[in-house]
Amino acid sequence: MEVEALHDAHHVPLVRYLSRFCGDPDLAADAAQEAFVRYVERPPGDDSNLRAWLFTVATHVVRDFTRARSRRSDLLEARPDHAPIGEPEADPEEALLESERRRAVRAALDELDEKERMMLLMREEGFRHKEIAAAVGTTTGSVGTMIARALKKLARSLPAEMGGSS
Amino acid sequence: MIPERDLHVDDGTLVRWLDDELADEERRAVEAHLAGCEACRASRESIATLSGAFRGWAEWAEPAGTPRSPDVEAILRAVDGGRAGEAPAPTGPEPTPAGRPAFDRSGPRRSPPGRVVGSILRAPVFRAAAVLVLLAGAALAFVPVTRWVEERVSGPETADVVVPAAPGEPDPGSMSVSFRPESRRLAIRVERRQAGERLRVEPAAGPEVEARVLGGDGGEELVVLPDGLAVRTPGPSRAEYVVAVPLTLDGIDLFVAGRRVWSGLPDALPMEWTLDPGADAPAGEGADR
Repeated sequence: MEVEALHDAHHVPLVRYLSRFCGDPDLAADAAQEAFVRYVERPPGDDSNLRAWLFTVATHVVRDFTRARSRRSDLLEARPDHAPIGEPEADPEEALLESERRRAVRAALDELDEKERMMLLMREEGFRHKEIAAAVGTTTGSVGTMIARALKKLARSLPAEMGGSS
Repeated sequence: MIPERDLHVDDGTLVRWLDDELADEERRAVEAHLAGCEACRASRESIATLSGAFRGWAEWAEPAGTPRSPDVEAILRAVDGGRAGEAPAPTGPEPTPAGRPAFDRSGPRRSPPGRVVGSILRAPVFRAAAVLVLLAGAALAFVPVTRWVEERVSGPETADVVVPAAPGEPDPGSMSVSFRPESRRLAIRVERRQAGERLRVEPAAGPEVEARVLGGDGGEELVVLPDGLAVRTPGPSRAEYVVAVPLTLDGIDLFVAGRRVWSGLPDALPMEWTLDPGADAPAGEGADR
């Protein structure tokens, strides 16, 4: 598959997924680009599921970079304009509320381990359990259990008014 | 795992049931158990509610503003030699060496000896072709839906997916199809029949929003909701609908009776779905939900 076609088909959902995964739009965009570059340089031998391959590679790029440099926390401190907060609102109270919601969700997601976060967000993008299992290195049959556990864990971290159980 | 008479369905199996990941035999066993077990039905509702709530949480987790997306030119420039000296790229989803930015393009240009792809990509003619492809892509964004669908959906490929109504619940009398924004164009055709429902992709006639009932027993209604379109029916009946949405889709979510039955990218949408509302569903109970 030509990289243009691959890019056209998948870059928007890939960047969206990565942004949700790491909370850093710049890191998400860079990791997505890196995944496409790797596809051009060394495409996978089995191209039957390039979407899953792209998402997995890009997730690993984010993971490695985050682990290596704790980039996200640095960014949030150094570049508050890139923090995952809402656009300025005309209503200051609404803006504050939106900002608090985003921070709460981000914090709750960050409490999950990377596999749990990856599984929930890949599921949200429509991946099948077999694809999710391959991406996180587990069995297909255990994906449902891990997703249920992650959902409950996430709910416990969020207040009831946001649909959580805390 | 098929529950025995005195055992309950575990949460993992309920997630697999929600995601249509169970084999037919296992699914039937789970549904038979759910029909007679109030506790498991409550668990199922809890998991379904959390799954639905996660959609909102995921959107809140997305940083505000339009994310920057890599363009093809940037990708080709990176391939062209922007990498710092590093180990060869992995062939699969392998982690990069820790301690450096995985996409660090600083440092000396790397010459990838023997990499045919790289040399081709550096050729001026290729770059010119890439520009043409991008321009063509921009033009294609305005072509009729027909071409887009024809290019991406072929077949008559029947999806091996059957989503029955949960035992003990009424016939799903409404179907809603929600579309995320920034999308591609796509047409969805829904056929509702006595014994089941079908949803399949078809070309749309034009760029205008179209949502109309083609035929049926009467009483069907297409309702535009803030998050999509809903088909309301007075009960099991036969009707056909065409829903053409002039948006460029980057994701499709399908809900039946409030339950997500499928989510994914347009080009992964099955050509044809069979949604079996359940043979023993009492007629008329699906009204106006």
